[in-house]
Amino acid sequence: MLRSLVLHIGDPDAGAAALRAALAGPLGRGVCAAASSGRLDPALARFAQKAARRGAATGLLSIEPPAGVRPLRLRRLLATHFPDLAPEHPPHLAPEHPPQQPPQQPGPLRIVAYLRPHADRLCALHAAAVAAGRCDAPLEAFLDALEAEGGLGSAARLAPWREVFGPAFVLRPMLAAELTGGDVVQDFLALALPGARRPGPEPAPEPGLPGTLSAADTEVLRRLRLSLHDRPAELRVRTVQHLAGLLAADPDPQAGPAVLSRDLAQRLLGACREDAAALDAAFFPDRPVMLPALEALPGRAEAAAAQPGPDALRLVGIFAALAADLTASGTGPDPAAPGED
Amino acid sequence: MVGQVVFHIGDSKTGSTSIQRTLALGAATSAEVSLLYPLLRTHAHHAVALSLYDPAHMAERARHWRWVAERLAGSDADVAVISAELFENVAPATLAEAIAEFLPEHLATARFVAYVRPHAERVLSAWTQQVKTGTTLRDLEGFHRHSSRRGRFLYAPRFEAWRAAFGARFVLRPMIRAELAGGDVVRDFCEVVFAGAPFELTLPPPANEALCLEDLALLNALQQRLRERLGQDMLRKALGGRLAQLLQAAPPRSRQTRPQLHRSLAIEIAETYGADAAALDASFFAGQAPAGPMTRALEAAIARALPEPLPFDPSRLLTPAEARLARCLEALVVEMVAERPEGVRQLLRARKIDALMGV
Repeated sequence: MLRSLVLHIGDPDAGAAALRAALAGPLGRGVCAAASSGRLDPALARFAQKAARRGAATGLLSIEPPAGVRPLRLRRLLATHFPDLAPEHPPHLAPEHPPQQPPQQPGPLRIVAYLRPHADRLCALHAAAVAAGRCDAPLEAFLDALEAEGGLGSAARLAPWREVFGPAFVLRPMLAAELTGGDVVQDFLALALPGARRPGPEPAPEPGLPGTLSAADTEVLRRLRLSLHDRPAELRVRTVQHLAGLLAADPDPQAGPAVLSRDLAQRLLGACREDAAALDAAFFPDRPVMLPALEALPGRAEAAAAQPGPDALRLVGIFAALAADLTASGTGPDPAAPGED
Repeated sequence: MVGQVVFHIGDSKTGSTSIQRTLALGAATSAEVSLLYPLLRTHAHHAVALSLYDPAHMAERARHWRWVAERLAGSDADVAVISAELFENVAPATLAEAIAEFLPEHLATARFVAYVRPHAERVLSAWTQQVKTGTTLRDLEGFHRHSSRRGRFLYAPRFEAWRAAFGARFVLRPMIRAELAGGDVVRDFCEVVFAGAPFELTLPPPANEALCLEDLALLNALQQRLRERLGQDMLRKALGGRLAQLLQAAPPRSRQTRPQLHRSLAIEIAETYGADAAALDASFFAGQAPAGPMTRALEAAIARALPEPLPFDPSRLLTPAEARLARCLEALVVEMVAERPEGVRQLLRARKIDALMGV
């Protein structure tokens, strides 16, 4: 019977892919681990059965349901499938200032989420949208669209989690300097299995997972999609997704972090300052991270956003024209075999 | 009826496209000599030449040659030009038979003009062309060894046959800038066609802009992948041709390497073709001392060759980021082609024709 369960609630842009890969491997005796991107209720039911079959004491589950997760619903489902692992602190007993670090004596259930600072999140969301073939807007226009839909803020979205789960909800800042071992996998395993021997370096990401794309790759995909603007939407999407998979499978070790333009950095600072301060107050009161990261943006920005070099852009233009030729006759890569060559 | 017909018979890689574009655009005119250049769908008369030797086109022989005969009969121009570098693959006797059958009134007066590129330059340009089209996947050295085994660039016997068939009406010109009228092959060809009469010439922008080594390496890498995935296929060549068009039309790379021979290969080529160059000089370019232009060109190729071979691997010619991007883009294209080869083949064929027509 499970004595503890650590549940990772994954955003597609916050290390979920790497964690899913890590949880697929062996993690030691008595540990049952899994990842699911399917519907929540069946995923929890399957995991409960699997853990029971194995007689596991510790469960690690990463979930990424397509329709998102609402905390109250999750609480109800956990009560159904894991009745012995109720949250330690009912909402009305939640401390006013929960700890920034995971509790020293963790309860039997913890809900863990990772959150990127605002600029990183913007770039990651943009990369994911472009890699999925849904977007060919530049970063600035993508931000316009995000703001029209409610913006980049996370404080209001995450507050109900703390209200429902109290300190069992652990929000971790997705910043290498703040993460144990510098990455999400090491950090999650350190939190879930303290003291246990952990796997080595972060495993290579699965091909086709958009979170692994650099700003240069995102620009490449964006240009490919633009070149296919008059092709059927399905072909356009499949072609872009296929190249995204190939790029993710062959990562550029020299790719640097995204560099924002000064205008965009200032705009983000203005738009997200309040949200960053609210996140720090709610989740990182001992050592604020979100607001400092936001305030550091203008100093790291350049006059214009970084672009792939001229020869790389030339190459993209040439192959994009060729892809446009090839899709004109109704051809396209097989979406069932991303990353294969 | 046209007064005289001039067959421009090649060779490949000797400015044929520039000559054909000039003629097709009517950019060469003379007040004293009127010129007819009958237009097919393309600037050149490749179909006419192919019908004489390519089994896939020989059934069309009568149709194409009647088309030529009708154009020549329906014009009172002083000179007509039929131009296709593919005539270099035709036996002179075969061409003579076609002329006798379809253009009998021109059999005794037709002239034949060919340009010959010195051996070393021809090996280099043929290699770049064949890399472009995917006909060869070899590097430059491997290409030379393969082509020399087949005697591909032995000129003297071939051109001797043309002279034997047509005598002084066959004119061979060396494709060497210093030997060409005005240093330009188009102007030189006009000198031959207009036979000394004054002419006006508006040179079109250069055709067949040469690809740099980096682009050739990209094409070769794509062809390798296509062959692994699709096997030997005309589709590979069509796709290579289309990619080459796109590479040529794109702005130049920020850093380009010109394909060049290296010294040991230039020496090897000189050893392979030295006797052929001397024979050609003796037969066609006699009276030039101390050696004829083809022999001098072989010596000059050694003198200007690079000390070491140039690399031909994208990973050594491109930045790591660009090489990686190229790998991914190539893989994408290969998958797209593998999924629907037939549709792609038709599309590329259509696009190639569009490009040739300037669409």
